[in-house]
Amino acid sequence: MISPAISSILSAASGTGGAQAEAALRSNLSTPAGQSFGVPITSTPEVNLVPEAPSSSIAGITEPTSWGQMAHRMLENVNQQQVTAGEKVLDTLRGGPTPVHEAMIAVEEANLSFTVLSEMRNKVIETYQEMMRMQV
Amino acid sequence: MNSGLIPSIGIVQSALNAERTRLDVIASNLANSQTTRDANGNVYRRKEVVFESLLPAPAGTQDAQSGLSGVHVAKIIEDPSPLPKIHMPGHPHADANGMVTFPNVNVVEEMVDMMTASRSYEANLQVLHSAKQIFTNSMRIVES
Repeated sequence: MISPAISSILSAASGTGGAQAEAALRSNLSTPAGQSFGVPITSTPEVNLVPEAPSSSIAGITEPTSWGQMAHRMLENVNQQQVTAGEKVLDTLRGGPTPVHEAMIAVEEANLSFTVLSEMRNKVIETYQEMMRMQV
Repeated sequence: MNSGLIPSIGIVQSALNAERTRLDVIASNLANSQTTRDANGNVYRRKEVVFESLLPAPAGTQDAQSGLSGVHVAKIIEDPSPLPKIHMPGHPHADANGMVTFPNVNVVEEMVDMMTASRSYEANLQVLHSAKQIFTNSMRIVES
């Protein structure tokens, strides 16, 4: 999901395959993040783990939702940030109007939001494994 | 201000943009420090940037509550100080008395301005680093 954007950045940086990189970026852009999953998240049972509205600063997550929906939106958000960062870096490398620091900040933001996502995932998996180890 | 995950990133970004513009202006001053005719046929005059706070974020957003705002270059003005005249009778731009009007650019002054610009760029980058560090540190809350 994330690799096309990154590979396009790398190929643009090496100065070869610019058109291919753009094609990769476009194809990544045209595919919504949710479609890359085999199982649609809408089938998740409506277990409301977050009764209070989470005060997360990630855009789009403001009202109480099921955890699955929240994770889904977070994934989409993180993917979007990666794509935006890739576009900005490409624009900078092509000599476009994007200043270098803006591209770097976008990359860093994308990186940090991915860290949050993977940390959340680790926590959930850890909790799940803890429950699986419970004596019955 | 598109501040999301990292605090104060929008403000820092606006400051970095402003410093870049200031460096552009200094580059123009240095490049034209001996220009006796510009595109309009006048002697080049030293340019200066005017920084202004950005308008506060629209109501309802997170930034609006804090009342904080970034910075931007409001306009680029010309230095009205007098232009030095040098006696050079052979110069094609010399007047009837053989005096050539030179730009009011002082190269040493521009160098000092350049150092100020690059240092404030560095300072703003340091803010960004700090913000990132705070964010990374808060990630350690959930680490086992």
